[in-house]
Amino acid sequence: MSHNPLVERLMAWDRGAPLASTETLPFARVPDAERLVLAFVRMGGEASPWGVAIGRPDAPPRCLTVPDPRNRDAHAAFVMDFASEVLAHVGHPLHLGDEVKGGALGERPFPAQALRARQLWVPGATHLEMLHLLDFRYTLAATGDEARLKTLRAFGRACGWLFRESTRPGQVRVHDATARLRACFTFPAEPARQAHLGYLLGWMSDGNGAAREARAHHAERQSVGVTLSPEFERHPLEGLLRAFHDAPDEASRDTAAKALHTALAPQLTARWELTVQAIRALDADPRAQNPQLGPVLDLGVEECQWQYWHHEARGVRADLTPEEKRALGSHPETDFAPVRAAARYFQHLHAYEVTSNELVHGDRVLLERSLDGGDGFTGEVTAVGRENNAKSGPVRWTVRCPADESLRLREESKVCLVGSRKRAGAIVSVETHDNTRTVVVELTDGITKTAAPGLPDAIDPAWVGRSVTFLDRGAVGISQRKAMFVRSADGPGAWLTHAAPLPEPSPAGLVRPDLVDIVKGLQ
Amino acid sequence: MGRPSGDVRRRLEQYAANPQCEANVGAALRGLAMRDVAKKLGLEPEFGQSPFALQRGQSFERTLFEEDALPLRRALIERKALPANASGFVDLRIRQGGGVMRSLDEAADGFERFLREVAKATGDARMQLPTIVAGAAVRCPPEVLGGGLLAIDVLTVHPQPRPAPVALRVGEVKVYPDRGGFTDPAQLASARAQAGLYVYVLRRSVEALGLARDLLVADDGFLVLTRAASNQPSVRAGEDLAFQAARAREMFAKLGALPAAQSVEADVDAVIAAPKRYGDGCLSFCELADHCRAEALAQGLPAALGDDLARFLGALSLHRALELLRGEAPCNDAESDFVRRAR
Repeated sequence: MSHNPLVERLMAWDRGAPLASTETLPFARVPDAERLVLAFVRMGGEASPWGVAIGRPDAPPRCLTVPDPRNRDAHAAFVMDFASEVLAHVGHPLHLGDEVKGGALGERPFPAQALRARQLWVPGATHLEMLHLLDFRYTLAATGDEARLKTLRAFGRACGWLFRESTRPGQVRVHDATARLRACFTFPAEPARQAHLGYLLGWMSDGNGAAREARAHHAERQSVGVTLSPEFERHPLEGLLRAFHDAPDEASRDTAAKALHTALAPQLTARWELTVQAIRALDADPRAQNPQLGPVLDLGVEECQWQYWHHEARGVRADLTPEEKRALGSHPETDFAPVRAAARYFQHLHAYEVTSNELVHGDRVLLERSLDGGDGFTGEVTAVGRENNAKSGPVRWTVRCPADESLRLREESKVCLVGSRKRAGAIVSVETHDNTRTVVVELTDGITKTAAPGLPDAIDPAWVGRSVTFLDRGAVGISQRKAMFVRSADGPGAWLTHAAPLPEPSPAGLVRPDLVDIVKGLQ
Repeated sequence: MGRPSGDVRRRLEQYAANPQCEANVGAALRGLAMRDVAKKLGLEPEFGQSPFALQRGQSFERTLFEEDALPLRRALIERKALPANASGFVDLRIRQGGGVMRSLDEAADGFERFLREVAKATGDARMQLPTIVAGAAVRCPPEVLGGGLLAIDVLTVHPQPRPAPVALRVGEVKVYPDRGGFTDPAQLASARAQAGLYVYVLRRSVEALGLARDLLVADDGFLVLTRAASNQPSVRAGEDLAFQAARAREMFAKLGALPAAQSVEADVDAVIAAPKRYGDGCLSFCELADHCRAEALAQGLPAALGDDLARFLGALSLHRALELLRGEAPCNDAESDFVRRAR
């Protein structure tokens, strides 16, 4: 069957149920101890959370609220209540568990193993945005008690890094539950509707198609984003907030605050529980995780180390001045330097290349999509040999395949054998006659049994008659090197990344505004 | 049930959200709220505005224009949308929005007088013109929506020595936070579309007043958002609105004549009877979205499963596409083409 997502949506509608859209899951299943689930709600129009539900998926969440999120001091106190939990989860050097600390403060080794599998789950995209807004609010916090400020700023930076990490292609640390479900299943509904976590889970429930659809539509009526329903805000929240502000004494104020908490807690819990439901649905899915996930996880650990942990670890060193420490953090809005932006762009490109090139070898559906896109070919080996019948050196395979399939690969394109990626080489020639395409591949790597365990030598005539699939080898690593080179002030593109800013325009001088007046003045 | 006020902004937005749907166009032209149509159909409309968001928006706008719009002026100067020595503020906001004008009509008359004064100003008076105008109301072209009114959030005035015309730049105020490169592109696009609409209508108004030689409505404008986690403005200057203004011109050209006035009841019935065209965008603004989707699904219209699927299937119904996928022979070129693409 076609792997066109639109055709799959049509088929899902026909079946009245979501269809698995991949053969494997593109992220790691980890124990609940490695997962932290966060869900926020906010007051309409505000950019900071009104409450948060936080906790591991195997225990009830802790719901925290602030009576009025517009009160900055109260909001900071509210954030302090859960900042340590978030900081410990992301591995801030001052908040690591005792088992991974070790070493003097500021010189601790990066706890790669402890942080490798850590995951943060949120219900949807608006909750991720909330992390960015917390970054804005607390990374640059400037007033208040210094000890508290340190924690608040560290919390802001952690939120900022988590948000930025969530935008890196293929990352497996910050999970938007809605996006994860959409990536693993094809739902029988229009894309605009698939932004609702409850709606997707409704479709994944038991029963026939009509029952599932009814459940999905029912769930859709409940808000799952960070905003609350306007009706709920009008009643009871507006009245409760008024009561909080109009309270004549401390006791009445406390009572009103508790009433607000009581009203908000179920909203938070509902969002948090939907996220856990999504996690459980993915845990229960019969598909295994992609076996080629290792390099993707390695890259995630590397990013964690160099984009977050390294700066934080240097930041806690006592021998650095505040001015030196300032340069370690990332600004919530921009990196201010074109060269850093360019380097991050190439790092993101590298992350995309690593993810797509690795996962495709562990997932049949991804492989078929890649072949559909012309990034490889499947055919029968018709000849095996060496150029000029040499006794050693590269081995040439002649592969015959149908010509009606698209092929983006050309002569000199680097390819590797699916099933044994080490066996790789380049295309020597592509010839098409009628309905047959003949591709000659010169294999240069992994041509012996030792280099490609489980397979005969590439020169073995037993390959003749066998069906093989070759795939674009990709160019993993080039973007990473570009990310380094782009920092050089001499390389290509330096005119853009290292250019001095344009001079400020001169201030407008005192000019006679009217030409007629000037002429009259001259007379 | 009732007709809206003279402010046609919402009606134009409603029209622009799905101009292919005759029911939507009919409701926008007649000034009918879809909520009323939904109620007549026995549906429970769920759209509404957050009371806190409304308060926040009002509070932000009040802050923006406090002390002769000092906070806004600072932000505009900081982003070089105004020169450092810019001064002067004209407040044409209606009372409901924190201003002094009694109605949009009064604001429109006041703005017309202001434009005439700006156009004829010379010498030092020209260079000392007020640089910020809040709540400027302009009339739509008379052939559209009965010459309804639109209130421009903020306008900057850029005097230049004669013979150059005085430049006017349109600004749109939004309460959501500016998150740099992460600001929601859909929200920004919507703000630019509104600003582009104002550019076009203001240009038409200037032409209608015969002031086009002295006043130039610039193709670029600016957006005023909030700074994240604060109540201070963040200005995005140099927004190119030429395309949005051209699109507004196209929209006005396509808008049909105002239907003959009937009773509200009759208008609701007319909208119910009009053909509907469901699309992904309907979910975000129309109270009939679920109703129309169910109808579309019953008819096998592919738009019920997404605009992208509708484009992919073309004229094929969902049911016919499934038959073809199950192996039925195609009857025409379109079906053969679908089978080839879906293979």
